[in-house]
Amino acid sequence: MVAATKGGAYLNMSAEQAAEATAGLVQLMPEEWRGDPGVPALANLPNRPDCEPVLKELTRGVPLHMLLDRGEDSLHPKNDRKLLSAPDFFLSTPSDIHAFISHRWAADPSMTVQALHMAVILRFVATLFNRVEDDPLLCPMVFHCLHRRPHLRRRVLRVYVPSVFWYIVLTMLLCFFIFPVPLLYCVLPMFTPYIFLNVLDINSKVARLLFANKANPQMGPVLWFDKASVHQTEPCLNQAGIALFPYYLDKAKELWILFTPEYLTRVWCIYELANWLHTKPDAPIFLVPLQRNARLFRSVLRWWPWAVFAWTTCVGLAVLCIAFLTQRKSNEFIRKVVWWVATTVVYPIVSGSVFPSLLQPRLAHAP
Amino acid sequence: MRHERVRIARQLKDFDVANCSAFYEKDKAYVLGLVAEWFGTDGEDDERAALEQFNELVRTRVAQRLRRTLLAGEARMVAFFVLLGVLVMAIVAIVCGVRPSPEP
Repeated sequence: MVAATKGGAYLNMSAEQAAEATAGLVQLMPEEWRGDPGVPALANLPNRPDCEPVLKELTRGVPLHMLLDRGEDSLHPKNDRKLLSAPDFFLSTPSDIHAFISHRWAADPSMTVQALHMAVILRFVATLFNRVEDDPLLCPMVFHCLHRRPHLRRRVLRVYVPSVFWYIVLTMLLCFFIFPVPLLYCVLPMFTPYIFLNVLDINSKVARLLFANKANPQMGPVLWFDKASVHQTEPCLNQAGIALFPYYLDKAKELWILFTPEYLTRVWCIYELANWLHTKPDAPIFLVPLQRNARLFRSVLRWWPWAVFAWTTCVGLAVLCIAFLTQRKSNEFIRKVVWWVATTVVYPIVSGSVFPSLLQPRLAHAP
Repeated sequence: MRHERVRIARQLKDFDVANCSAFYEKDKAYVLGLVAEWFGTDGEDDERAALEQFNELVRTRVAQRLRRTLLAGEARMVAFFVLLGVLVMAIVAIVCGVRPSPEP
């Protein structure tokens, strides 16, 4: 069988490689279930000892960055089984599942990606107010600092440290010679993982390279996403994937619902929600309201540069007030502050027109 | 934002699993059967009562969680920016307070 990962990096398999890997998976199925066994017949799959190898192979997920991908390889525009092929299935890799994603296939792909970005940002913000050890995005950094999980050091070094360093250096370069207190900007790196994420996933290959890790191919939380975690072309694997829904839901620690008003009208969405409420009534449900989050995301992109300018102006005014109140004013100092504030107006004028067009996903369903 | 919250709340208040749709009608019957089985009371075969129990769960627990998610997301954003502003102002005050007086 062709490995789904090479050196920890996700591979875009060719159709031939995917066909070979699919044949390998079919071989792992019991003989009576190859072909077209039907979903009900496969319900017993998790309980059969001879199915352990295939069960291990079919319990798979995709990393979070793949769902944030708005490039050509994005899975979101493929809203029909016919548009998905065997290589799409092998974008996922066998792994423990952190969360099960429940969603409507017909949801607008741009809105989905934008909303997921915003959900990640809001969740990161939430960790500042909640218990950080519960959060799969921030806990590696915290655990690293506490030296409880030395094996996570590599992840931290690869994502958090470069992003914070990159931002600080850039800010220093821009501001050091203009303003005497550049370290103020060090507060902003709290945002950098997501600024970094936004910049990087312009090119999903770069994101894939960065997030992939030899020791841990899945960087960050691994999510069960049906478009990639269920084989859509091979009947027996497809039916096994559908039959294993309760098993996947049981294995997942969280249910992520990509909520649209139509979500509660789709029978399979109801099935996933009902199963979760039945088997894990108190387990976490992470709701991602697509319309609200997408609108918020677009607003942040549109107004963020102006907010930075407004924020800088406020800080500049505060500095001037303090300088006047403490009688430490000098013409040189005032000139520097005014110049610093004035230069930041360039940022929204330039980036306000460039960033939104660069960062806003423009995905559409395939015709 | 508020309009959306109200709209979602209204939708959830009127939720009825029997109104859901499926591409294949047999899927709907299969899923409704399962839901009835999961949420039915022991020894009771009344499918409608079981489905109504699930409806009630969605109308209350899921609706409450969704409302909380929407409100919490907005509140966190506001709280975070307020906190950030206060923190920055505090740093400005501290740094400017300890800076040596500029040369005359």
